[in-house]
Amino acid sequence: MAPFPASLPSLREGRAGPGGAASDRGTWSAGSALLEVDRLTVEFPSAGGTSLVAVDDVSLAVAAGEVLGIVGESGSGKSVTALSILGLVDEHARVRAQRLAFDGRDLQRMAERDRRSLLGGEIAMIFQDPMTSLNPSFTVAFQLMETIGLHEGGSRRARRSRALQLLKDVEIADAERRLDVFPHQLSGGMSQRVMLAMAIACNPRLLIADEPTTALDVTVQAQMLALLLRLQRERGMALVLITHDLGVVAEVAQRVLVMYAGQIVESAAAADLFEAPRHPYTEALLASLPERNAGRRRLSSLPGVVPGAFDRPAGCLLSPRCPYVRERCRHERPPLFEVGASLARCYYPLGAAPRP
Amino acid sequence: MIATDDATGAAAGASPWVLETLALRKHYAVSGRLFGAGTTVRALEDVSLALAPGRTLAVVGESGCGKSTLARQVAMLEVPTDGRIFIGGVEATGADAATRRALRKSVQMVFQNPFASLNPRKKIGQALEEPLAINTGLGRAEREERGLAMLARVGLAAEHYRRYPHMFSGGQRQRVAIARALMLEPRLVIADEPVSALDVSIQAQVLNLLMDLQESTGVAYVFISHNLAVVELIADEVIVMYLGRVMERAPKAALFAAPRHPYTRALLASTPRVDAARGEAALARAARSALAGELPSPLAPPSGCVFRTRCPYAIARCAEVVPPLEPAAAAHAAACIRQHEIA
Repeated sequence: MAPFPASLPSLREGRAGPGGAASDRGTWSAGSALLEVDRLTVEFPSAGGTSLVAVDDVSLAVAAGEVLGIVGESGSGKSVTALSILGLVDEHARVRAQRLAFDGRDLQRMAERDRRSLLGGEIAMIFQDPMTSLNPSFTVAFQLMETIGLHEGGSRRARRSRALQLLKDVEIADAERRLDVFPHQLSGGMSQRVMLAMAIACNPRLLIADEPTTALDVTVQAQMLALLLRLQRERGMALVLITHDLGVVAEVAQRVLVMYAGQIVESAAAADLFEAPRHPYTEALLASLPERNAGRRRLSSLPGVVPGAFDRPAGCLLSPRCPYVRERCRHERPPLFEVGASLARCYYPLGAAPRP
Repeated sequence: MIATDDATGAAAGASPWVLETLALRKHYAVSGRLFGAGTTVRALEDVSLALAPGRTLAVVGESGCGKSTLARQVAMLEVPTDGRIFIGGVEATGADAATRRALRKSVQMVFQNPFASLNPRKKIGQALEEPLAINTGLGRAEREERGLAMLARVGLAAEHYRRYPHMFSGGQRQRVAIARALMLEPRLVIADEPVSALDVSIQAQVLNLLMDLQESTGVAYVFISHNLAVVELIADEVIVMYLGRVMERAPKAALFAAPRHPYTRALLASTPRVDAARGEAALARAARSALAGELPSPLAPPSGCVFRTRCPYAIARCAEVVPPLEPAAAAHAAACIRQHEIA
């Protein structure tokens, strides 16, 4: 893993209103990032006329070879963010963005054909449940060879030997024998390795992994994370790891985005985030972990629940649950502010002066 | 934790244990291929444990280790193949129907998925009152009074009483499931992964609730979990299971401070932690702690020690003998013939 600078000024996410917040334009220079997402909003229209804002004004950038963690609870919008970048959300969803670009190429203006060839080629994705991601009717070899054939072509024999090599790359024991089995004959961990083999088949420059280890047992999860990091490093691939597990993010990611109710609430280098969280939500999440409560009788816990689609508060989305809430928080929705080397969506960031 | 001292001689009914199992076994028949012989899955082998009133015994292990099978035997939802179960000193295995019915009242269960464990067609109030209607002679008004009181104890409002489960979030539903389990004032609640389906901030609320309720009611928990961080918080005693067998049993502090079994060590080492090493160091740590391979098929478990195929310390002798839990009389025991060499 490449050493990671404490801050990446060229990769600042977020926009903010006037007054000392992260400046509006040109905080990252176009072209320096592999993936650029600027002001992405995803809405799902509902019958009543109101719509669910699943992703709210999310901006992010991923540098080549970087490991970015996106962490949040269910409904925080982390998966929808990834899916909409790839154009994989439900067709009823309204996806809007100032800019969605991969390697300088505009994903929104790209022809559907070109985008499809980008997916599975230069951008790959793996999902939480490997059992439903693989087609139960075809063998492992068939599915791997299909992917290779679509993007690279080649003779049957060449594709088969590539498939075998890929299974070896993802450390599947007895790879030769696994080529001709069907997915139901594989364990969960093994299926996830096959998914990973398929994802890296075309040497992607960006791999998006959505809860890749959540369905796995903890000892198998450790193997899988080590494998992901090894492949990321050896291939110089950028990795976006989406998870609800703060422990996984802490061990794997270089930089972390914390999402809450569709918004990015904090963006920081992993070390900063876990040692000195700036947003009250990040602090509360960390404080509610059993491992941060050793020796205490009760866990510290955030009262209440994440606001639903139709009961979003007027001000800061965390305001009904925030232990530090003030009057202003209930009326105004804060933008992302620069706080030290991090960004936090809070007027009263932790360990820093209040924002004007 | 295990009945090793004078307690074993105590008369039925005066047992110091709210739950005790002796050499419990559960085998499931699996039908073979057409005209072929069937085979058996040994889901539970030789599990002995004991739990004192008001205490929490955590059962830890990965999928397929038998922890949920253990829960089903103890909750009397299934009949074990062999071995004995005592609830509050009364033997449940082989008991007549009346005794079993009486015992069932004192053992209740909370399941992992609160979206599946509540009947979508029943209002919360009905779900809470049903155990009372079946098991007690209480009148309607009295049942409702108790239901409302229990709802308040788990942190829900009276207005929730007449709502349906779909109107609740996962955390709220789990509160309802806990309330339902406590309606008959059981002595023992078996909680099978009760917080695994919940988000981390909600998980903390529900764990706090479980601990508060234990303090106020004196209920004992069998807390089944794969999450060691949660276990470290809530348990008094822990047993670690692998492929149907107990690998290690210990008081919580001893287990986390000085795990003896290689499997326990591997579990602890593979649990991701926020305050662990990051980046390069995390990679090295992960590589070091990663166990080779995956769980063997429970249809054909390895001979001798079931963990030996993945154990970094395995030697030839591990394939020959099934290691017993040693020292047998001690609170902290491990089923490993090399536990003293590798300490």
